[in-house]
Amino acid sequence: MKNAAVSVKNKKKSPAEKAVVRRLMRYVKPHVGLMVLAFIFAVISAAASLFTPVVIGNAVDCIVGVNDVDFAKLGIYLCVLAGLIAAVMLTQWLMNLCAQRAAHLTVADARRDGFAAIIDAPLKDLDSKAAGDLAARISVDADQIADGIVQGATQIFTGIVTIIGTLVFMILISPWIALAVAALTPLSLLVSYLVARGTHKYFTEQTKVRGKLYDVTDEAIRYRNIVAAYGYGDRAEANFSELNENLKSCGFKATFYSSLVNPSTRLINSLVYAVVAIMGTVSAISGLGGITISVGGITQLLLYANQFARPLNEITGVITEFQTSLAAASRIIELASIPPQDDSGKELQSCNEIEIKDLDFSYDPEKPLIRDMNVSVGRGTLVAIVGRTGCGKTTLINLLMRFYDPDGGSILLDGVDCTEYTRSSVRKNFGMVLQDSWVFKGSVRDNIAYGKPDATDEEVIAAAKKAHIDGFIKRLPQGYDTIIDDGDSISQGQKQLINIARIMLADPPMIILDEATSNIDTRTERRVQDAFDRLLRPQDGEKKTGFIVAHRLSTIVNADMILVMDSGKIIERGTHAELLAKGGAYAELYRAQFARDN
Amino acid sequence: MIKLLRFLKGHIPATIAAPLCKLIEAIAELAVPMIVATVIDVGIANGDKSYVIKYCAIIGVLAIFGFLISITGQYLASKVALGYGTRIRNAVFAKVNRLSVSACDKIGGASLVTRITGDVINCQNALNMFLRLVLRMPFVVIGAFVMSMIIDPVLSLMFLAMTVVLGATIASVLRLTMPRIKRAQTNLDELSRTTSESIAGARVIRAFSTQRKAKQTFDDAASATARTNIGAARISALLTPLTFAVVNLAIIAVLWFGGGKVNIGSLSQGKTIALINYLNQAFFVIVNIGNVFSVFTRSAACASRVNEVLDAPLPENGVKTEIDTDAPVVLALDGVSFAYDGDYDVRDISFTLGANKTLGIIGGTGSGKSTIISLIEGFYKPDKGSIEFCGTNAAEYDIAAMRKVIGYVPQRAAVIAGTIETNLKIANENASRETLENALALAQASELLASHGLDGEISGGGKNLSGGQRQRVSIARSLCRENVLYLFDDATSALDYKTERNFIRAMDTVPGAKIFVSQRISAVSGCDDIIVLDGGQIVGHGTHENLKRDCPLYAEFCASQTEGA
Repeated sequence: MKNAAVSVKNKKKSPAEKAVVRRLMRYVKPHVGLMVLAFIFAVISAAASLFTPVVIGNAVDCIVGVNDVDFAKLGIYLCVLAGLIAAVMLTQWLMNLCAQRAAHLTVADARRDGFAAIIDAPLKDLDSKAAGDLAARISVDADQIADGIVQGATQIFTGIVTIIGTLVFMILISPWIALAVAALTPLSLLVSYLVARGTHKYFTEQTKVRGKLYDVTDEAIRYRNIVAAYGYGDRAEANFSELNENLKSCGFKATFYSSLVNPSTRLINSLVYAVVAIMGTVSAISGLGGITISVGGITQLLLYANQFARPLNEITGVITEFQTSLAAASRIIELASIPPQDDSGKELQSCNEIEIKDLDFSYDPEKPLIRDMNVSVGRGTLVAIVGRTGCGKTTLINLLMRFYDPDGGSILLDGVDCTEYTRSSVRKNFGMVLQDSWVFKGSVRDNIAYGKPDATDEEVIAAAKKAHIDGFIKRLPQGYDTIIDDGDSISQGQKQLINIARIMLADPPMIILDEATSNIDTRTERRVQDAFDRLLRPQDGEKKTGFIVAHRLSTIVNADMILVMDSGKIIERGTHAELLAKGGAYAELYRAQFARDN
Repeated sequence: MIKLLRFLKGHIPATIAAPLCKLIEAIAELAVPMIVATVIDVGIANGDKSYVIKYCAIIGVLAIFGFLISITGQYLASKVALGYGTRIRNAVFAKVNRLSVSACDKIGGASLVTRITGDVINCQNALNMFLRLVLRMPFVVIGAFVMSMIIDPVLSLMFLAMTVVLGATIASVLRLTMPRIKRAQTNLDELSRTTSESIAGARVIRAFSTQRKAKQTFDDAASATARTNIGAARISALLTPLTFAVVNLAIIAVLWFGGGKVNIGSLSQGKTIALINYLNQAFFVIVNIGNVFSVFTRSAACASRVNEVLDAPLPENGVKTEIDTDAPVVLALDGVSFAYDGDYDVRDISFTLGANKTLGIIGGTGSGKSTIISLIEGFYKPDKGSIEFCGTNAAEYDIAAMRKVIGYVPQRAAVIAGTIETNLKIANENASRETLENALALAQASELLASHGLDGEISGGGKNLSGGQRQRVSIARSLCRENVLYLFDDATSALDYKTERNFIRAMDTVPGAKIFVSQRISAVSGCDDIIVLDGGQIVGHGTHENLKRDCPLYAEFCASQTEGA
């Protein structure tokens, strides 16, 4: 029995799956004590519940006929039965507790590792993955470890103990009947295996079709304005109903197959039951193979026969589920296996000069992006980077912040290659506001003070004023204590202003603005721009080094150096006046933006 | 739920046959303990082997018969349920397409998708379960009870007691578990949210080196989840042991009191065994009732959500399908006001647009620009005032006919999974290759055409295109057919200024009136007429030069978007 179950598992296990199991074991290991306890309780509870038919049978034998009832013995047996029930209850409950505890602690550990990997992973490993998918791995997939693997293990274990125990007890009552039942076992296994396999197959297919149907529905509803505007409804319906027909046919198969589990279990049970009844009664009348059994014996055998097919069925079911959850587990383990990004090196204290030397970079080796770039930026220089979408502006920011590492060449900070410093110390020297602004679930105050947790209320409010968001915050229901999140509670523009306030408060030595005001209406943008000017070029302090990427050229005319990029190369550089005079690409861009048509 | 039963039409015979099959199976099943009792009391007592073998063979035959009739029942039930679900899905999807855009907005896109997919599947599963169990479950429980009454009316009380205690046990365990499970679900959502949030903020977290803090927040959430789950398990783990105890206590009672009855001759040994068997049969059914109950409660909620869509009133629609495409005035708004809910979002809007003329609408976020476009396109109906299209009140038209001559390009570029060609053909199924290529050229997407081709794959939501490319495909779609009016609702926001200008110039060669909505001066400055919106009201109306002089807001826009001036 055990071998049969194991061989089903091994047959499909690839080396990758083995690695997953090994890694899983590492998570289970700290809770191995709990697992062992669960197994011990499982054995006790299975054994105790196996004894109940024996006791019931013996009790039945005390009730033979009129004036032939042994009440003393019956009473003893019934007390034993009560004791057994209590034992089963207690051990089953304890087993469940231990297994669940082990399961959920294991899951929590796996989750922590998965999340830590997300936090520590190089961005190149993260940017290529869908956020929703990663979140699903951490939440739903991890739960599968608890449901399928840890609890499945105890279920399989109990099942095996029950089956072996049942056979042993049957052998003790009548070896011949036990033999007959054992002979029927492969049939039972085969049936439940076939049902489970068919169910799994059609369910997988159904999930796929359902996913497609979901996409089509989602699209039609998301773009309902287009569907309405262009009379696309009828065509969308035809498309939908075709997929719906598909779902009907494979859904039918999946539903029908899965609904076979119970009837086929009952069939096997009843067949075993009939065989046991015939053989049992025959041996009660005249003995079978030299063994005569009592009516109590028949009762015991029938009770065993009744519960025989169930664990078999459960085991096959659990094995299929086991494989599904192994797949889910492998998704979170794959995530947890992303090696963290190296953060070793010296601490960068301060930086006066940045030199970009022979820089090469590409996301995809076949499409080189930045090629052979050379720029030297002195202290206090305000650098603006302009160019079309996809020309490499944001990539350059990614390299400066050390989110990505160059393929060739280097970025020198005061003459030292930045890779010699820790990433975190390099980043600390830059304050950054991106086009995609970010707020986390928390109070407005915490969001603004994100880079400076010990800031006073006055400092936070001053920063908010600089970012022209103070007025808005004051109008919120709880002012600075209002809880905000990444949802729709506040607009994109307001989120961006909070991000700007964050930087105003942190006041870092160098500033990077990547389309930092893209979601703000042009009037507010102008005022925020002035605030940035004061931050970058304070009247009473030293000028800061800054990098600005912007679509709207009006925001960068004051830059000390404008770099015009195209296809990863700097095609022009100079001040606004110089570049306009030159009449090249910059001048053309500028004219496109401000010239009146015709 | 009952309302949805009309979708069973055409499946009535199978709908009746399926539960009947399950009923017959249950009868066969209930016969077995009685046969065993007879075998023991008659066959064994008389030592009659052939009697015993005959009756046990009947058990075997009943088993096979029960199996066959049961799978017939399952087959019919699956067929009916899937047919039912499929028909509801088609009906809801078709209904959603007929609803007005405003009605859909009210329910919400995500909710509509869930209703069509998840909710209908829940209803379908509930029907399947209902057909399989509606007769079987009560029949087995009641049947087992009746049988035990026939065997011994007094001992059958034991049976009743067990049923009640079992029911109460299951109900109270479930009641105690439910809130904990709900809390666990909330925790799980929170984990998922924290993860998404940290991925969205990957760069900011790294920039401020707050990795440790992020991990701490997550750790707390993960530990809380584990704690809640373990707490829930502590209670839910009671279910199996308690039910096991209840049924076995009932068996103990049957054996004890049965023993007494056998002793005085009012019960036989075989019948005592039969009683125990009936107890067991009923037990297996009762433990499942909780499960069935929760499926039904959930699906009742789903059914009412589905019904809400099916019962939603269809929008009012006119009958006029002929449109005077040569009318000198394409569009005339007179005192139009509209509120999504509560305060007016646009107020007292009036303007006219002549054939082949261009109109620019400029304003900040939330100034009501898109609302005006939605009103013209007929997604919403004005609360006050009137909209005249080609000389006739827009309400008199069949809305589909009217939309056929309006080229609408929404603010958020809509690109569906497929190819560039399938995306363009949404507007015009019979468009020739030449038309499509020409439309792409006008939309400044020739480059995209060259690199991807007309059959270039577009993934869902256009994820493999840049924002600017998506907008250009969306614009090209409107140009695949001849329209009287074009509505460009901030359609060029992701284009760089040069491309935008080329597009606007190219539009001069396309006949038809055009409305350009934008936040950018550069997109509207060339229009014949410009409207400046603020807070839902028109605060300036005229040409670029006039507005620059007379409208302070417009002048401010100009100033903020040009250097110093």
